[in-house]
Amino acid sequence: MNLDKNKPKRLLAPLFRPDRLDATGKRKRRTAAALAGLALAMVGLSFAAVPLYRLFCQVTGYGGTTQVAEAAPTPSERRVAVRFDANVAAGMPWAFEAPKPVELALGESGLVAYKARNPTSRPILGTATYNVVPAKAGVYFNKVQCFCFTEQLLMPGEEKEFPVTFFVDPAIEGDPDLKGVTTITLSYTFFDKGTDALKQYMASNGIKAANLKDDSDAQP
Amino acid sequence: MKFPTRLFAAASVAIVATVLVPATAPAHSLKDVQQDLFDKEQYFQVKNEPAADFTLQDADGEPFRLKDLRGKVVVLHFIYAGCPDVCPLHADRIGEIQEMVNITPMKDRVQFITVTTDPKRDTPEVLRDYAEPHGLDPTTNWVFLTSGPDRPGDTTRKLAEKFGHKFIVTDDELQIHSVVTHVIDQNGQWVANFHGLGFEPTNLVVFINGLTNANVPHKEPEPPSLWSRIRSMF
Repeated sequence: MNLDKNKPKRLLAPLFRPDRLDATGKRKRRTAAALAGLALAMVGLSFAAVPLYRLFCQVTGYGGTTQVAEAAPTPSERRVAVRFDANVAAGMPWAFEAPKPVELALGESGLVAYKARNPTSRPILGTATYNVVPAKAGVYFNKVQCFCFTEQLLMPGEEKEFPVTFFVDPAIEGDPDLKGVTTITLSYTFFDKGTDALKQYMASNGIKAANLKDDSDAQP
Repeated sequence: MKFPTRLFAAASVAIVATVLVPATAPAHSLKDVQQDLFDKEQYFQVKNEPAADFTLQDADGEPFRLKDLRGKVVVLHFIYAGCPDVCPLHADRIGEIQEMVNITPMKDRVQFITVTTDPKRDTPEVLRDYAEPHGLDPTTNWVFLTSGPDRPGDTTRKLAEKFGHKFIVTDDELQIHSVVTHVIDQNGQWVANFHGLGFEPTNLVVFINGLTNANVPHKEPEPPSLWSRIRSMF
């Protein structure tokens, strides 16, 4: 804003109080700028209303909004051992290997990787279920990244790592049923989804049956 | 004018940042599983209504009530032993699902229930002998229920009708009925149907797994105060 007194600028200046011209003009400009800013802020807020309301609900729990963890909270002093278990269902020929156990403070993030290998000469589509033992600890076991439920294709002879990022919510300390729990087990079981699901997966991902044996680099 | 200008600029940045930050959704939640099955599994149907409660009896005459299974996922279906075509295949499928579930820690969190719609002819002996040929394991989490001899013969058929079935009983006492596997969650809510025999067994197992992980019974810890929640935002 130009405040130079030598330039003509007082289009709206009062006629009878020339001595108050400068002060009045400044005030009016301030008011106009403030009003313009207010109008812009209101437009901005109207766009921000939905995310702001969501944020409000997340902070306050208002309306029953689930508390979604984006990152591990501040670690606490209590430590817990996390073991990993890997299983395959009957008829699933994959070699599925669990990572070694880790010990973490509550709230501390852990990163491990399961490993699976398809030793057969045919592609296999798998899907994994997971469980936390003891079951009651499941609600405090937060997986930021995991491979559960997602269909996984392994080509003949292909080996793949499946990372899991997790933390144990320090809120577990407030649960009287889990006071003495020092070890939590994360268990995965891989199932063969079968030929029909494999064909459907290949078709929807543009993998041609003729390419399956040669194209061992194909990824799901 | 510097102060309002800066304030306005800061407010604008904050608003833009708030608008642009994407809302996070929990990965691999029950909702994700439902959506995934809805997209891929043509025989999957989402339901959301309280399951009709029932008290029936097992092969030993012991009463068995649905309400007593709160905290467990229930897989329920209706057949009768004299059924010549789809019922044995349906029982085979349930046996297959039970085997898949029972190799995982879900074993203690799921109950499989088969209900006969022909209580007159499906005597306790028939109920007991039905398991083995169909790969069903009565020693763990599967049970074959009947209304028993003292109640009207159509008691379980009327129950099945509450789950959406329709029966046509022919002159030679064959029952023509639909083939549906019902899933009831830990709170007694009827949450899904898997229709027919063409659904992919792993899809039902994955759905059960989504339920067992979503509805874990636990005591709520003391919630943090509003002030500490707001403070944690910064």
